[in-house]
Amino acid sequence: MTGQWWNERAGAFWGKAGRYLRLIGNSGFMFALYILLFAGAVFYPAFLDWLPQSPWVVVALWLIFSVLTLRGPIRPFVQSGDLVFLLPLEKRMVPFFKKSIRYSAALQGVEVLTVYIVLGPVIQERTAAGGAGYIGMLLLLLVITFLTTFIKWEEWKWHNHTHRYISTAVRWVWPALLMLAAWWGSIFLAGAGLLGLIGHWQLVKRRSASMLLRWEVLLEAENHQLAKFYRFVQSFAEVPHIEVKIKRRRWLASLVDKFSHKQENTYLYLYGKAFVRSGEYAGMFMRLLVVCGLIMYAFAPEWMRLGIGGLFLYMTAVQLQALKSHYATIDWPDLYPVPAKWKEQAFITFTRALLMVQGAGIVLLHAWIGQSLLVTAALILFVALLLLYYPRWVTRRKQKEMV
Amino acid sequence: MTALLTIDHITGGYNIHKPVLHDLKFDVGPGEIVGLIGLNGAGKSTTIKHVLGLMEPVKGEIYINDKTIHEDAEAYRKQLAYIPESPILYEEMTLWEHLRLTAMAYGVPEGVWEDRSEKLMETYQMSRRKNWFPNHFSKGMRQKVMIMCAFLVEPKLYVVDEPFVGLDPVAIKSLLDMMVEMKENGAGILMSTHILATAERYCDRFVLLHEGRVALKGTMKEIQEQAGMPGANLDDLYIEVTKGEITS
Repeated sequence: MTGQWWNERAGAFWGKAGRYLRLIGNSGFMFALYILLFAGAVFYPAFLDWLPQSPWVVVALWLIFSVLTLRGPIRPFVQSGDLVFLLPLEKRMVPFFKKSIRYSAALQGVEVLTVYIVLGPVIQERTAAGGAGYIGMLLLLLVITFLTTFIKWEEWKWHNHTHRYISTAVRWVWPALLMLAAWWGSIFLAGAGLLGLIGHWQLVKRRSASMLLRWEVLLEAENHQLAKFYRFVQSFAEVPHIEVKIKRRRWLASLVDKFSHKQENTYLYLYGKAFVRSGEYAGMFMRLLVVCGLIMYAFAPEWMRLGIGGLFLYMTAVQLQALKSHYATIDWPDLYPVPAKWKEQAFITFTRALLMVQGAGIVLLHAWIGQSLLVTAALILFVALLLLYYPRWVTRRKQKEMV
Repeated sequence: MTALLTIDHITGGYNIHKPVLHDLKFDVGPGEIVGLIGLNGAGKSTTIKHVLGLMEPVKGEIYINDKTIHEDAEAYRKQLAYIPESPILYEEMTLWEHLRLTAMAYGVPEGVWEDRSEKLMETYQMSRRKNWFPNHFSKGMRQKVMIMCAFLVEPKLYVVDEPFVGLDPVAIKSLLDMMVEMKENGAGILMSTHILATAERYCDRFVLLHEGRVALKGTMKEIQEQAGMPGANLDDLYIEVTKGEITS
């Protein structure tokens, strides 16, 4: 019964997550990912050649995988209402939480697996886990990931801080030693370490057998895990579930204060403050410029640099459209005695000015990185045309949205 | 018509086939406070949303100084300020910026809005929080921002929805004093509330709603007569209305 509840909750979450992931897929993220993969494929062999023959490579690998396998984040799938309604059912919740633990461990396992595959060539070439040992090492890492998650869950029940700290310390030291042995090729030591870890798990389990769950800790962990997911999504799409972090940005915000005090500027002021402080508008704006510069630098052909400059300016324009619906859920802008058409005008004026700044930035970048004045001139022409047709483009988008 | 706000036989709600308000009629004159009283779900907030123009009535019209919102939306809106039941703030703006934006939107000139704002901040003990963001405000402080923005505009009509929730006693006193002051200066105030003792002391007239209909309306004396309960206080009248036996 409680296992069924878990299925429903996880299903609901993945339904929602799926929709967000689709949004991300459509947001230009996939494009960036392809570029990254492409660049990775090009530069990886060079990176392997460059990597020095030093034992520090093994130490680095050991550190990376220790953190990945021993972090053991758990997503309990509890909700705040459970603290009232499910508390009496705690004893019957065992199947529910078993699923939560396995789910969390499996998800962490996927993370370990991905990094293991990406770093595969380095591991094969530089460590004792080359050749046949490659799969064995992976299995060992996955077993440690699962055991860590199981132990962490039991620790959560403990009220005694000192005991918890000791167990946590042991939980980190055992497997770390075990992995260090494995990376250096001492399979015997690794086997002994694994037995020790299993022993630790059994001990912890026996100790907490009669203890109750600490629901508030579970809820906190749940919120933490969920916030992490939504923060990731937030970089691509509007998420209503989390509070957006507001940044003061004193200097930039003071520029918005320079708008003169008249009714016509009401919405300019609103959009200005939102752009500077809320969401990730300003961050996105800067990131696009920086990435544009990096990619221009990486790809030598001048015609490609022209295309990249144009593409990033266009991407800025598309991303800025989100600002338009920034105040959609607040009544105030609809109540102000200011004509609605001023709102539309303010949006166009403000975002167009931002595009002009971005365009100037891209042109300057090209003048610095590129070698052809002709292409720089072409880029200037492109920026000018985009600014010229921008108001029409916004209006047409709006009409399309209405249809 | 001499009334400031006229609600003329309006019927309306969220669903055109299931109106929440039925043939509502009352007005608010200049220099008076009218209390809008009713149970949860009686239609107080819906009435207010209609007055603000956030909802449109299916039947009937709403006038502010004889003009409907369709005749001149900006002129209509300029005459009223609204204090919502749950504070609505811009999370990316400080207290001072909220005041500045409101002044901008309502055309309160430079030089005037700063003076008024400083005084308001002092009255509501918010001067120290001038440059704070709303996420550091308590519920009561958020409500104070709403109150300050409304009084900054000094409009002809105030529409106030449950203003006392979450406010500390000093702020409640300041708010009531300010409402009285504005009333004496000729403004009209429509206030919905559940704090009946306060309403009885401060409101000049009352509109008691029950299930979207006006059950009683008028001065204290008039509604006592209508209910056939001479000398009864507002609490008793209100309870009687909620029994559903009194209809105007």
